[in-house]
Amino acid sequence: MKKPRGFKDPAYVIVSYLFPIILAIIILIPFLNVSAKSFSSSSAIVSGSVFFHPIGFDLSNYSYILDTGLFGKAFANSVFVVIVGTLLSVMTTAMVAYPLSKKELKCGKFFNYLYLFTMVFTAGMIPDYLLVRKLGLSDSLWSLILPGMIWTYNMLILKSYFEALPQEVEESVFVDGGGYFCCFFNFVLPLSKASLASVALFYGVSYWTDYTKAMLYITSQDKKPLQLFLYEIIAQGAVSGDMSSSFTLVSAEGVKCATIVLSIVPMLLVYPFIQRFFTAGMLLGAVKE
Amino acid sequence: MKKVYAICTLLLLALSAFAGGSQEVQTVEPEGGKPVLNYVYSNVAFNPEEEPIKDVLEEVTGYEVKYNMLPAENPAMKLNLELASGSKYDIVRISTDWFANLVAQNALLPLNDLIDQYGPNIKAHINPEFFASTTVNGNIYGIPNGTANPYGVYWGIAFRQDILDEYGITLPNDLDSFTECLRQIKEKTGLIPLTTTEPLVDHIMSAFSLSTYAREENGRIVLRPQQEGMYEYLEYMNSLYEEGLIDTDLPINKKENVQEKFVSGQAAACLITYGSETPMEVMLPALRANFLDAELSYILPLKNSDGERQVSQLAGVTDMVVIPVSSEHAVDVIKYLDSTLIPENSKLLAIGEEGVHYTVDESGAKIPILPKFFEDRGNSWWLVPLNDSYEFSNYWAELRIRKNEDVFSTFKELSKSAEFGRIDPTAYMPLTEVRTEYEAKLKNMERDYYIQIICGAVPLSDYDAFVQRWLDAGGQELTDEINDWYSSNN
Repeated sequence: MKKPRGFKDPAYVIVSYLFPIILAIIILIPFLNVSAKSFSSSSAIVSGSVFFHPIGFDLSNYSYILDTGLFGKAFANSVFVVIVGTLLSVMTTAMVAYPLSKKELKCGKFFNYLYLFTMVFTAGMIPDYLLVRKLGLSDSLWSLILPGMIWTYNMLILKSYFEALPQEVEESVFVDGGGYFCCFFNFVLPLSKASLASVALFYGVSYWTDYTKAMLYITSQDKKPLQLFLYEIIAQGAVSGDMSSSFTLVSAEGVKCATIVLSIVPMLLVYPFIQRFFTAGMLLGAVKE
Repeated sequence: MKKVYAICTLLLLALSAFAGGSQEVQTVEPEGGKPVLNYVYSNVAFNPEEEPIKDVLEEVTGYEVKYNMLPAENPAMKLNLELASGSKYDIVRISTDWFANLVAQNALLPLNDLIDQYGPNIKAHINPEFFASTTVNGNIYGIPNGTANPYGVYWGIAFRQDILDEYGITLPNDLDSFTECLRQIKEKTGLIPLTTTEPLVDHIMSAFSLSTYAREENGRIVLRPQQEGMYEYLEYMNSLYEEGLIDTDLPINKKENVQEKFVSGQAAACLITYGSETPMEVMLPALRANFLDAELSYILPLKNSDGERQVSQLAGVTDMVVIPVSSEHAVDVIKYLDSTLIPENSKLLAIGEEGVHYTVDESGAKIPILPKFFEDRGNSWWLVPLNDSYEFSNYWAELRIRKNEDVFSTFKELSKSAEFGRIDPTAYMPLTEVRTEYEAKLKNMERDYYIQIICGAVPLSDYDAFVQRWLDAGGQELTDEINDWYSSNN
């Protein structure tokens, strides 16, 4: 029998190294260009002479962004939404998933269908908007958290994980006189740390990256989350307005690049620590015994 | 069993819909009984709540205003959604192209009686001509702002005088000398003779007796595609393109590419404005940094065969303030707007105080005190809802454009063309639904086509067929409507 081509096959080695390297370069080049521009003088940027390293090193793009104070506010808003939103989401999702994972729950199937219903049918943008308005949530950071706080998909992941927990643990709690609450907080949650972490990650990333809700519900400049702020800076290009509009004495392109760099940095810092949960999360609920 | 689920679900949904119908959040009444007014306008990259002008407005009007902005993407859609759901807004500032739709939806409050009763300064300081744009069937639905630079010229062509001098090329005056100038630049320097993003260049069109989008010919209004000279203009531009005398990247140029080519010395001439399309406050310092002796010369509109020049001037309404029917504070809004137009207030709002924001030199010219003027009044255009139609253009030309010397000098150079200006006869025509529906759409269609024909993607012989397509796409309807209005008003 012919052996499969092994790791030592030179063709394999070349391809398996070359391909990721090329891919990495393709991803790195625009990033290098953006960060080089963010540190360059506006003359160099409008002359189009900046490629991979800063020309006429200059921090005025950064000082412009930080001076207006909008970046800081937007960043703080995003951090608030991510932390509070993730905590609330994980908590409520687990609290829904736990009872639904119990076979003895009355009408359990019905409630299950209710949640599944929301996965298939959504009301759409206008009813959502009206609901948020009538609840008095428009132009509030809570409008970014409360609508869609529980994702059915994440709830199902936790539910199937809870279902797989050994029945005997719970029975022992009941024998010792504990109820469902005791069981949930003292045993189920601590035992599910890994899956809770993955679900928290899913929520956290979605809160961090979402700007569509903010676009609909937020109207004050100082309540915008970072992603919307970033999107608008990039979408607008320059500062919009009439002929008497303000100008900045720094190039719009430079400001754009500096904002991008500033908003990438926190992700770059955090990502190495949470990366392992991503892979763990992908497999959650994939195999059921 | 499944049916039961479905029914229960529907019931629950219906219940939750009822639960959502609770009372609106009311605007808070501050001390003194004056309501907080909710203002909304376009998206900007600063926080209006922190602008110094906010306090000045509050002080002179006695009203507190909360500032909201529409998103950068699909602002009209968002505004429609908000107004349809009974928005909280009291003062809505809109661009002219949204007006007809909002009126058709009955979303706006007629203002005639309110202005008569509470708006003496609105009547005195807003040009009645502007109101023609915002009046439908005798009802005034919006209080208009005119252009800040009326009768001014927005675009011009700047040549690098230092390059022309170095190679002994003279600045053009008419069509032949213009072609010759570009040809010599190409032959002697190898640079791109002229770079731009626009297929329609005012100063060249002048040589073909073209300027405004609408023009009177023998008592009738003719729009640009049907104007005499348009075919010849495109033919000429096509010949420039074929010969490589205008930037061959014309169809793909973005404004950043054009800035880059001009500032880095790849192009010897460029279409220039003092507006944000070519930010001179960044471009000129960069140009000087790259070429120590860089110097710009602006040409006048090229002479036509009769030796005349012409150029399209800025005129008309740029934006307006409307009050949605859902506003509960219409009277207060009019009182608020009116007090911003009291002459000393509108002056303070536009240019600030003498000695603090500007000084007056011995010749009587006002000079801004920088950076104070820029810090306090730079973004005031967004917050101050209305401009005095008669005074604001003076404030603007004297001081507001002077926030930066490079921008100001560009403005002055471009203004030299203004003596050849022509005003569009439809500048003060009402913003009807037909205009809103077709004007922007047709202009886009034209722009795309002009680029294609200049670049040779479409043969010149196709032009008659294009005009027919243009007429079918709404050009005929628009022309008829404009002529109906024109004949009944002249």
